[in-house]
Amino acid sequence: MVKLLRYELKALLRGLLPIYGAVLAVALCNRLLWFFPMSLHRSSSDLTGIAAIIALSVYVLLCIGVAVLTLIVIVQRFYQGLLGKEGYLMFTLPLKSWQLMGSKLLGAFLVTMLSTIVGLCSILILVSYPEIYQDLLAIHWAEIFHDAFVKMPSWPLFLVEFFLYCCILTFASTLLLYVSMALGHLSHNHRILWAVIWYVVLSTVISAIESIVTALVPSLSFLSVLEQATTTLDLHLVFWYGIGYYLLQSVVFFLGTNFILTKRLNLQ
Amino acid sequence: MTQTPLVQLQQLTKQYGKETLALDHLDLTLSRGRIVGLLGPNGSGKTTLIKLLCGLLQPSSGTIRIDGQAPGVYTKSIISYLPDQIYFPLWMKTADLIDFFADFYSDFNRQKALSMLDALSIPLRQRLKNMSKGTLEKVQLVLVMSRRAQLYLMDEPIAGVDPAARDFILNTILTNYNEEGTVLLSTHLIGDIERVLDEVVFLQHGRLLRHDTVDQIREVEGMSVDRYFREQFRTETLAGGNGTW
Repeated sequence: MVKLLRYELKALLRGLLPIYGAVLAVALCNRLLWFFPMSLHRSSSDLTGIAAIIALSVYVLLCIGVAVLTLIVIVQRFYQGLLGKEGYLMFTLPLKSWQLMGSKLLGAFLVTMLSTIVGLCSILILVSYPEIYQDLLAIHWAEIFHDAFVKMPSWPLFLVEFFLYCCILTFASTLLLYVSMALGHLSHNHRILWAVIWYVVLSTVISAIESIVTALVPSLSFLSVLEQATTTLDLHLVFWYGIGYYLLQSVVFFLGTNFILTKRLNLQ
Repeated sequence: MTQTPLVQLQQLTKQYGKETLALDHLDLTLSRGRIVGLLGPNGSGKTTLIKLLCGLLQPSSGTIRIDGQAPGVYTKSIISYLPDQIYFPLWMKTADLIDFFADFYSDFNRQKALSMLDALSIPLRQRLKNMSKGTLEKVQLVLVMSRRAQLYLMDEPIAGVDPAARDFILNTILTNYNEEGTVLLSTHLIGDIERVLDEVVFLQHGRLLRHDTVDQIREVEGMSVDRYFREQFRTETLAGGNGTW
């Protein structure tokens, strides 16, 4: 599994590393363009101002590009890597289908995290004025943490729960893409089109089921659970409610995709 | 002690959709240490049979046993498969592929692969996407033949290549396969490979037409396997087969 994951990450990052570099470099350019006029001249020339606006636009476009490219690479690695010609290589390895899919899923999760981290780092570069560091150093962090522990002792648990929630949500979203592609692969022709149709159908069905269930049992709706939460323990339960729901989705999608890859595989 | 047959198929059937019967209740047993030609016109079920043996397809009914086991992790570890198309990720370099095979196949002989690639002057640091189709096919063949597999499954390895390349491919197979294992080689170009075959399996419309040794066919029929094939499939050849079942 580790070997598969290493191979998968190599394939995924091959397409993403250049845009990661570009985002960080453009963030640095923006940082320099916005810093010098303000600190040295204050009244920037028109040319510098235009350059700064262009640089900021490029940065925003690149950030959107990272998100879109991450999604494209994840879809492409599953489709080409398992359902395309490369599938002949992967499915003849002495491994189980779930291991192949699991490595793709873990790889997709890691690059999603990495893209998020790169995005956050680029924002840090953009706002990294010396004043900010001075302000950060001036804050009495020990007191803040102490107060936080006094007011809500379990706040670190919220952070863990939020992180877990984001992880499970990423898995569920990726697995919805996988199961849609696997279902599309069952068609004889126009497999990509069918994968898109399946994605729309499944998303609609999930929304419909959620609506029906919450209409029948209103107390099960996420908002209702949130509104009823009055204690800290209740708020923790709201997170676990969300984690459990997306975990259930993930398990269903994983088993469905694995069934198709194991029992219904038909590479062209 | 009787050794388990390497391949044992019982009533093997594969149906695509409701209408296309690619394999129809096929019974077949292959023993070890043989070079077997899987012969038949287009659409006779050769590729389907090979994909079923590889575990790339699931049978509609019937059983497959390879070294006594159903297709799965173990059987994949003893099968070396050469598909009828380029199946390597083209972003990789030859060296990456060697690492990949060494990582996943315990029977892969890295030194053998390196010396074969060196003899063919194929650079290790070149990306596959920059190679010609002929070179890619050679890389594929080298990697598949650098394994000490029990069963080599080769789907149309000599189709669409010039006579010199055919000789190279056949020579590579003959000089590198594990002699305790079996090579199952599908083709409809029998004349070119007849000399290397021990046995032939004739498929027609997904059914087993004949499974015999090359010597037996020559002796009983009084003609070459190529000639015998042409006579058996004369009607289909004239009609022109299609499809890749």
